[in-house]
Amino acid sequence: MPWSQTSPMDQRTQFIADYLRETLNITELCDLYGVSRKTGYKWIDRYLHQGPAGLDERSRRPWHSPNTTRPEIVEALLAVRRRHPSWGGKKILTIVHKRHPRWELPGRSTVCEILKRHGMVAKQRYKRRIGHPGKPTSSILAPNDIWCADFKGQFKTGDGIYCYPLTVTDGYSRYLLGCQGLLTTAVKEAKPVFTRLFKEFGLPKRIRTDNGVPFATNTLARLSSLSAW
Amino acid sequence: MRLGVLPDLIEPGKPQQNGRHERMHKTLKAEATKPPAGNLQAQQRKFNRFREEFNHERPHEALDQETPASLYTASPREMPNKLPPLEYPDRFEVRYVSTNGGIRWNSQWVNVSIVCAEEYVGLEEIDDGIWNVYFGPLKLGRLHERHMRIEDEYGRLKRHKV
Repeated sequence: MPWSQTSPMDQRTQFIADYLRETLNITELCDLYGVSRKTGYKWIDRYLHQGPAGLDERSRRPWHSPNTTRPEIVEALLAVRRRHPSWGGKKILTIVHKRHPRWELPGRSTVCEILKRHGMVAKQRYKRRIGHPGKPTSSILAPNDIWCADFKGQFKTGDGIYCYPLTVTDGYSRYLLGCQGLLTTAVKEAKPVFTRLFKEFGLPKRIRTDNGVPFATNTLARLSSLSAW
Repeated sequence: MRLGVLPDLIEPGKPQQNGRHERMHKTLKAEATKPPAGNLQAQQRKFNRFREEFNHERPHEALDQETPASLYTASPREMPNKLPPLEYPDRFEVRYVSTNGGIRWNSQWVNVSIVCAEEYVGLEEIDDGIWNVYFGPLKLGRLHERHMRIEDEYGRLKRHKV
């Protein structure tokens, strides 16, 4: 480690101390410190007007930002975010625009910046993405062409009992047709849910599922008693 | 199936083929299950509230920031009170699957599947001694009279138990 280390701040203090000793004139002093006379006069001026505090670096922030987002817009954006903490810029903008169609709103990236500035965005862990999405099997062109059904991963509720939520959506409109917490994935629990949905919304053409219980088994054509019904 | 709703199974281990549904699970997890409710009833109330918001309030990027409810219409096909009988064309041989999941074929017993028990399957001759086996509109496999077994779509004659 070298034993002479000086920062610009140290040098400036030294410079002013030498100036106050009045042994050298300004030109010689500036030569000694390797700065121009203009710079030398600037720091002397700041020291004489503001004292030792004047030797600190000043903020580089612009004096005026005429294009900043108006505070009432920021407040409206933050209010929506507070109500829906998991919604991002696009959704928040859509909602605020619906409420105040006259307002000139900032762009999506600005909204995200505002949220970040107000400490409303948790830092995300960097995830390495691998693989390639599989090709889609069939096209979905109208509501009820395909319903998607699946069990969301089970979790324990407060009383320590596992909850298996059976979820059914419409593939075209993403309409969440049903979301029912069940105690098991057995056919006898899932069947009443499907009966209720069929009665309420009618029958779809197809139901897309994964190969888990109770949707498929290892029989002929992977038919399960739920899909046979 | 009996209701005329065909199963559409994705490949095993490929949840991305059901991506739009799994994406909904992510939202569901973030909004309704963290933290989980005290018991199943309370959790179900959270689910119901989430369903209302998801369908009627939340703008969806894939739908051009519309809500699902604005694009969804209920299906015109109503749920029948009684299951419609499975019907097959005249050229089909129709067999009743007994409670043990098998059919009688040339005075011998052929296993079909326990899930088709107490239903009718249709068999269509496609070659000498080879029959396609249908369960309604769905093809189950191919019956080989030589082996007296049904071959599934992957060409396997033997299967594990259900």
